[in-house]
Amino acid sequence: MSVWLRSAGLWTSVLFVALLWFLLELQGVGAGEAARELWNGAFGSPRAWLATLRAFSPLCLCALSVTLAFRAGLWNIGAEGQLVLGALAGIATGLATNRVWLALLGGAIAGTLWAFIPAILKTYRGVPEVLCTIMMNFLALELLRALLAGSLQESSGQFLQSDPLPAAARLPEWSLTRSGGIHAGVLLTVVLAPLLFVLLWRTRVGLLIRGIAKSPATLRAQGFPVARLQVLTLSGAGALAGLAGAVEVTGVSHGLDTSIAQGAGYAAIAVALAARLHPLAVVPTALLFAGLASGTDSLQWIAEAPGLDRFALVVQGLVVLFVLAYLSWSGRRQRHG
Amino acid sequence: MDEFTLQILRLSLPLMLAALSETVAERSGTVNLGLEGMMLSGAWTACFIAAGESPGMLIVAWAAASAVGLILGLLLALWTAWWRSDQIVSGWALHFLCLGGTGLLFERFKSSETVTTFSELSGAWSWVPYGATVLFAGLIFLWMFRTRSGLRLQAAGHSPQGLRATGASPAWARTMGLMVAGALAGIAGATLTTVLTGQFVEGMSAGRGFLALSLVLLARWHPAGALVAGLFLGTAFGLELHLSTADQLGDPSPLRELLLRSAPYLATILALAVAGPKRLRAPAALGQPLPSTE
Amino acid sequence: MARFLTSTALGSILAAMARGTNAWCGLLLLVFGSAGCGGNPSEGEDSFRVALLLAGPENDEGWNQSAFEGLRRIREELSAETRKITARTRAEIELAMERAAAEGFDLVIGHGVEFNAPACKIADAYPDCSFVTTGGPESRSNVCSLVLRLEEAAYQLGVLAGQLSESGIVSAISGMEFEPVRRVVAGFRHGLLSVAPEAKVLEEYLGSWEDSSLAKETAVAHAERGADVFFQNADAAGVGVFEACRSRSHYAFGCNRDQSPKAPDVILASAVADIPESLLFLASEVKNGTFAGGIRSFGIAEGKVRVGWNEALAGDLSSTVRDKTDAIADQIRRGDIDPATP
Repeated sequence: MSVWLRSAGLWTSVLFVALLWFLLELQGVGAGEAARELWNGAFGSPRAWLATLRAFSPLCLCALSVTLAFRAGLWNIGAEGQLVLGALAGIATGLATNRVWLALLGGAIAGTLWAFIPAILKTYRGVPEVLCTIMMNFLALELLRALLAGSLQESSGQFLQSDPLPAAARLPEWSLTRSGGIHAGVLLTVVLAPLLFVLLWRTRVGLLIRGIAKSPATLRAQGFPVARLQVLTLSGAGALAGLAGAVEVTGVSHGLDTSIAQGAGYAAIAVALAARLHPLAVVPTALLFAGLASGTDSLQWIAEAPGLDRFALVVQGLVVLFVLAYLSWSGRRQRHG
Repeated sequence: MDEFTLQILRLSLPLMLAALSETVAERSGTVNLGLEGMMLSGAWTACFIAAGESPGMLIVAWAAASAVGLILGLLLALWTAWWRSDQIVSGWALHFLCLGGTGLLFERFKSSETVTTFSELSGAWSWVPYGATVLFAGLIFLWMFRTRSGLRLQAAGHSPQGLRATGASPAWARTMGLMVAGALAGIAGATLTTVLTGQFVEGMSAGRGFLALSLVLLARWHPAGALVAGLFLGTAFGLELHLSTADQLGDPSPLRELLLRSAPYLATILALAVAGPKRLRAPAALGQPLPSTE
Repeated sequence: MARFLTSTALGSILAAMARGTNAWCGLLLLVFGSAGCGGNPSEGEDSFRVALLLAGPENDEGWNQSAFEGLRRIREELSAETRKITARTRAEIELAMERAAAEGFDLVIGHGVEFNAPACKIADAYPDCSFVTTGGPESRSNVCSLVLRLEEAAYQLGVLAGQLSESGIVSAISGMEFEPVRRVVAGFRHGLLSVAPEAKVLEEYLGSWEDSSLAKETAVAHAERGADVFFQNADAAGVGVFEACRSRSHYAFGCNRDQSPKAPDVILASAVADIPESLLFLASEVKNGTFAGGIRSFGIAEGKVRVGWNEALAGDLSSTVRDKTDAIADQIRRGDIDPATP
């Protein structure tokens, strides 16, 4: 058995290569071309970078949100819902005040609120935050639908979307292609990561927060307000995810419709864990995940086969599994010398 | 039995099985984020086998779906129990794999035939899925709480070091747990195409797998609790459907519609909030990779 | 810092690489690199290239499938090189459209109202590329908004339902609440009320285009309330409605395409929007150089919208019922009836 395990890296590599090649042949695509497109579609051109960075922004912010919560021993599965609430508040505030920073603030506050409720329920009624945050995600989607058909609906009353944001309520952009640019939200994200690191490792509050994850009983015994800290942390996590939603509406879509919720909040959990919950590592990890998504999406362009978009999902799954296996194997090799 | 009750049972069935599957997985210490993907795979497999065939093939379809789920569970076990990769990331990757894989398979093997579902069979046959579910729950209970291998399974989720100290292998226990969980997840998906409807649609599980992840908490990681939790949520959905239809006949209001659609989720939160801060005993080692053997 | 790096996944990869223990990485590169030596033949500069952007799966038996049909016809009848791209979010849509325009596609089709605003934005930057969106209020000189007045056929089906329903209660189950979807349901409702003013429509928006079991349970719930005729506009999820009808021997209507082959024992008629034909028509305009932007509205009068009968079941209908339904088409064509008004 151990022989198998030790050579696991070898045969998983072979298996993966074989599987990918086989699937590519089925789709009528050459393997080398696919590999090139995978890279080009992620990082190979200004447009690719645009795609990757646009996917990176909400993913990274939500991953930071999940990281913060995890560091206090809490599972924030609700980043998706908090993002939606942040988008709702962002669009409402942006349309009402025509100021982008107010829209962002509104989004953060809405996200805080949406995380505050599960936090309170957890600390004072014992409702597991995993359950509560998942339910809040579904609730957020219902709220989105209702508001887009109701008070947030655009003025002609025909489409299930909001009015477009006026120029002063949009994030500034730096042009990358003829008609698109990366928005300031990306910068904001990258700045927030080291700030989070500083909070968690260089402040007293951060020390306490991290202590909760390790031994809440000890802290409680020493008289620290563990429950209050947890509520604070989860709410703060909600603020980050809510900010992600507000960034999306002010920076990318300049409006709101039902396509705002694409699973970034859930993917962020994987990103946070892959980055071992280090805020600084979250940034490159989120970038890689975003690159993987845009690279695999790009595969659709190389051939006429209609199944390439499903194939993109398969490749995403396989690549992550392969990297995980590789890491495990290399770690094992390291130990065996 | 009136239609409303039947509808509630139908809506509850995949949720009950999915919750049961996740109960087994989490009891052994693994969070199975690939549950939704396993359900989809089971749904496609069952439809592929049983479409256009006689009702006898339904059993074969279920067996095939559970086999596919079992293999996927094995895959996840390999990554998480043996190679100690992160459970969430691995499960997430598996989810994508299944989502894309079922899409590709569906596109490749298109058939215009439909499955003769259990619901369409006459008499006692239409009750087979429900009887089977209760049977599975009973068997799982007996296995987990009355057999040595079941207790080992729980130990793997509670204290893997302790298990290893007794000479047993936590990795094998978790593998066993994931295999059973995978098989159940496959069957949960199979009910979508053999009980609820007779055709496969891409993405038809529509988030049920993720709902089940939260249902396990409601179920307190107990097989019977899984059935109750699934039934609870199924009832909530059925009621919502029933009430919103009645609403339509009267004077529909968007606020009422929002409240009705949110009701199942609010009800689940309330159910636990009302129960109070009783200590919810999750398996102690849930989500944690097994300790190194070196 | 070094310890920090190695404690993360990324760090491990870098560290392993530095240690040079990956012949496997090299193996992969070798494999993929050598496979890349045979490239694809480069596309000819003068081939006619068309890209179709969809927001959903192309095998959904309804909305998206009809556009995919159109793409196939364009590929075959106009000898075009085609691509089908899935784009769901605003960001994806914009990027896909821009990529198509930048890579020299002659025609970019965005199937759905959500493609309209992005198309106009991109079209301003790429004046040599032609764009078509199925729906949407905006247009440009190189963007055509193709509006198919499916509500006209839905109106006819409403008239049919009004004549057929014995209970006076009719079900209309749709996927998601978009304006074009609501317009179609409104057309159905108006047609129903024009022949049966006391009738009631149970409208439901599932919130999903693929949750077929939810569609089925909703249809069952409606049936329990007395609905005996079922209209659906739910693409892939719609099969659930057909299944519910089958077990209760109720009539159902197809939408977007002639869906009779999907459930020939249940679907009496479908509201058909001839999207494939319309797209082919516009694509040939692009190829011939006669393409003009603006809003183009096609309906019964232009021959692009109709009621598709399932002859196997329609034969059981009394001639008055069928004739009355068909006569509505003429009235709509003449402008005597407007499906948008009650």
